[in-house]
Amino acid sequence: MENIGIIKTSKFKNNAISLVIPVEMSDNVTGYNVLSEVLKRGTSAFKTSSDIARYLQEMYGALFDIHLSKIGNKLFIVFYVGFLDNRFTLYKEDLWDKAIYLINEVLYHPLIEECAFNETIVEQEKTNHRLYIESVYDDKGHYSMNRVMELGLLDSYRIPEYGTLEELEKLDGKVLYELWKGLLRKEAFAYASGNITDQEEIEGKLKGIAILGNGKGTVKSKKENVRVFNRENKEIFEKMKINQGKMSLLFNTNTNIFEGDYFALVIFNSIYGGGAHSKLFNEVRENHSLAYSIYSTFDKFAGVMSIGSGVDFKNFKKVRKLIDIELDKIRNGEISDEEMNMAKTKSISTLKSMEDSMYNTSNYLIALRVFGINYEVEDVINGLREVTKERVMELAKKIEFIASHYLDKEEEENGNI
Amino acid sequence: MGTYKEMKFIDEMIYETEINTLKVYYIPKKGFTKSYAILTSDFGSKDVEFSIDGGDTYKRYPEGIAHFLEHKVFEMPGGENIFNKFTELGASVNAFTNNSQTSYYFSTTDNFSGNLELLLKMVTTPYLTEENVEKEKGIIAEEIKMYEDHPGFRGYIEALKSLYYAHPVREDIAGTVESIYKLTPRDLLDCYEAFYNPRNLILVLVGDLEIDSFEKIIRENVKPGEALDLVKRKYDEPKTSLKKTSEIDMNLQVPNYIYAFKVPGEDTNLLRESLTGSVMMKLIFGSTSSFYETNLNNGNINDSFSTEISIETDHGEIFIGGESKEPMKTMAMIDDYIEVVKEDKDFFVDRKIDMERIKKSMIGSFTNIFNSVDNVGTFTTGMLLHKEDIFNYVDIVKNISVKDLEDRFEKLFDKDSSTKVVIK
Repeated sequence: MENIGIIKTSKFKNNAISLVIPVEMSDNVTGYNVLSEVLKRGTSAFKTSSDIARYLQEMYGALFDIHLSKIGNKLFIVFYVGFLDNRFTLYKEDLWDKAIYLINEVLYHPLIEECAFNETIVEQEKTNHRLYIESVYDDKGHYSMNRVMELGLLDSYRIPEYGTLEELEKLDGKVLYELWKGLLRKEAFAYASGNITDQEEIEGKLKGIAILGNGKGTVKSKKENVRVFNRENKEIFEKMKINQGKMSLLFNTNTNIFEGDYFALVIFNSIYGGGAHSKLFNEVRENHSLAYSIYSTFDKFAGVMSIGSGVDFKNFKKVRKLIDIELDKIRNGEISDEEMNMAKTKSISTLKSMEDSMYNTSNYLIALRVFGINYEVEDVINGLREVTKERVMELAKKIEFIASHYLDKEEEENGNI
Repeated sequence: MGTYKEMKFIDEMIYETEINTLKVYYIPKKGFTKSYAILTSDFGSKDVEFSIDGGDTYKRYPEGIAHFLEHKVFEMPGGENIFNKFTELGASVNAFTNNSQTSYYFSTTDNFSGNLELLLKMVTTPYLTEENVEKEKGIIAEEIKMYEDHPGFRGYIEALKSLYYAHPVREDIAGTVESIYKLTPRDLLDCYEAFYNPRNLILVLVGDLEIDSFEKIIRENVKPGEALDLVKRKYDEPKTSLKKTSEIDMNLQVPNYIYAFKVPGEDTNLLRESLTGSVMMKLIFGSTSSFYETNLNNGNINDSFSTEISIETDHGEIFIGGESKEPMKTMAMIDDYIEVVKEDKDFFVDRKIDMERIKKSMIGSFTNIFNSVDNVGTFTTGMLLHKEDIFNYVDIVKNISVKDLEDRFEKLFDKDSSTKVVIK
């Protein structure tokens, strides 16, 4: 089956299963967040989350979680189980079946009462999720970054992966039940990795998760993936009680993995703000001591880039200016051979080292498959090797500034102005 | 030539040797793409006062000096950008400082030898000038400010400040803006000479490596260290805590709380005591405990609830924390529960089956560390620094008994040695 992948490797002590169900960001994202928590609160065989925890301890401290991540305009709901291989269990017990049983329990047999989830549990998880959304407000760098996404975008990519308070209020046991029913009809993808000698046997076991037999083709990639930018919020200031200023900037790269020079985008970002070797880091932090942290990052599916920095309030303008100057340098070809080499070596090394983590490898490959991209890791590495300075310059010229958000210090109430 | 020691149960080995007074450990990881090297000085943020003449005279340095020195070690003569050198050779380099150590590490998929040479050069070449020390003050001040906006971090420091009277573990690892502005190049050089002597460093290497080739690089790049007479100041801390409650106002939407207890340090059997402490905490507060199950179900706690026990040779703490709209109420509930456990003479006996299951999961988690070259490197370094025996880890866990848990529990959870912190 095309939606099942196997990675054979015996260098790890454990094996792992990643099951991914992609849903649209325009769907009920908040609902999926709460649903994933409710699913972990108990099943017909495991009445409470502590029962699940006991089961995992019995499996030699196996890891289980349901992660949500925003990738392009999709929300990935990832069921992950990592468990010891039978070479290392005390009595050579095999844990594959136990892992698949757990996924099936959580996905297909949650605690349901008359076509609804238990209201008490739903209310608790709504409260927890409300706390979570509110706590993001307390993480100032994260908050500022979310604000700039909201300010600069009009499509579903502006929604944070944890959803919104408005959507949260509308949730109850019945809404979540319908959402869950719908989820079971969606297309799903899975990767099994680890000490696999008999591929067919493991594939056979995975087919025991019914959702993997759902029809394909529900996932469309390119056309839905269109960004709608709001260019009205070039500079928004907000004040809070904080010690250090935060600034977040949003850019349209006019490039993504489907269209344009994706490989040049990777190298461009690495040179511009992708680490301690980058222009932004060296200029802003090392040469001018203006900030402790500054970085740029991008979503290869969504085609947007952001810059985040923690800056002393008085330095906002200086840093903002340097961000433009460094971008212009790349546009004008002020890229040394050393910078080109570092960016390539660094990006390729990141890809190569992915092999040493089953979790990272399977998530990377599943994301590509979901969006219909048939690259293997090796193809991406080769693509990056061939990027030239001219291609990076061309790419840099396409970068368009969209919006910025500044978090400034609230003046003391009794202070003199 | 060094020697190999085996960890049979998990099919791993450690190679040990000493080259020019530097202790070197290598954990082979066949088939891994990435390799990892971590060089550590046993100089941590708490080591602000020490003697270099065997304890006759002591000198005190400003708080945050170990972390400041960590930043400056990256500085090379001639303005050479060392980060870029590593990047060119395909490696990511970084460093961290905690209470008891400063570590420099890189991971790479290519050119391990070149990167190792660079790491050794970097750490063995101090370059401290008035100018570059002054410049760093601005960067570190920003780093300190960044953490000050972090509720969890603020609470953690406040808890330590409230628990301890004098022990420097109560200070922020990075120091304060005031303390770092007092630092001079001379101070930094004193510390460098005392703690960056190869006799005070350990090097841990992990990956699919050639022993001959890394041994050669070490021999060529490390000069034998001179004999040392270094003594760290010891602190007499009362058993009780300095302050029982405190509140930090950060305009938070969701208050956080930390309930902390002082735990006596353990000079001998540190690993055994730490692991016993972990099993005990999991039984009392862990995700399979009756406390967790009941209070999660009735909504008193949520999955932000977590606990930690940390035991070092000269100090130790228990932290219980989470988010709550009514933090004082939540901590009062924890108090009530601790009383219940204290009065229940059979608490641990009744939970023997739970204990065995928790031990099984801890053995699995230990085995899992060996899935990542980075984790193996940092974990092994921590064990070596604390002179803990990684080879006996699994046996120690297997042998923990109900009696051990009862003995451990008796020493803890004294209200006089506790503090409650609310960050709101």
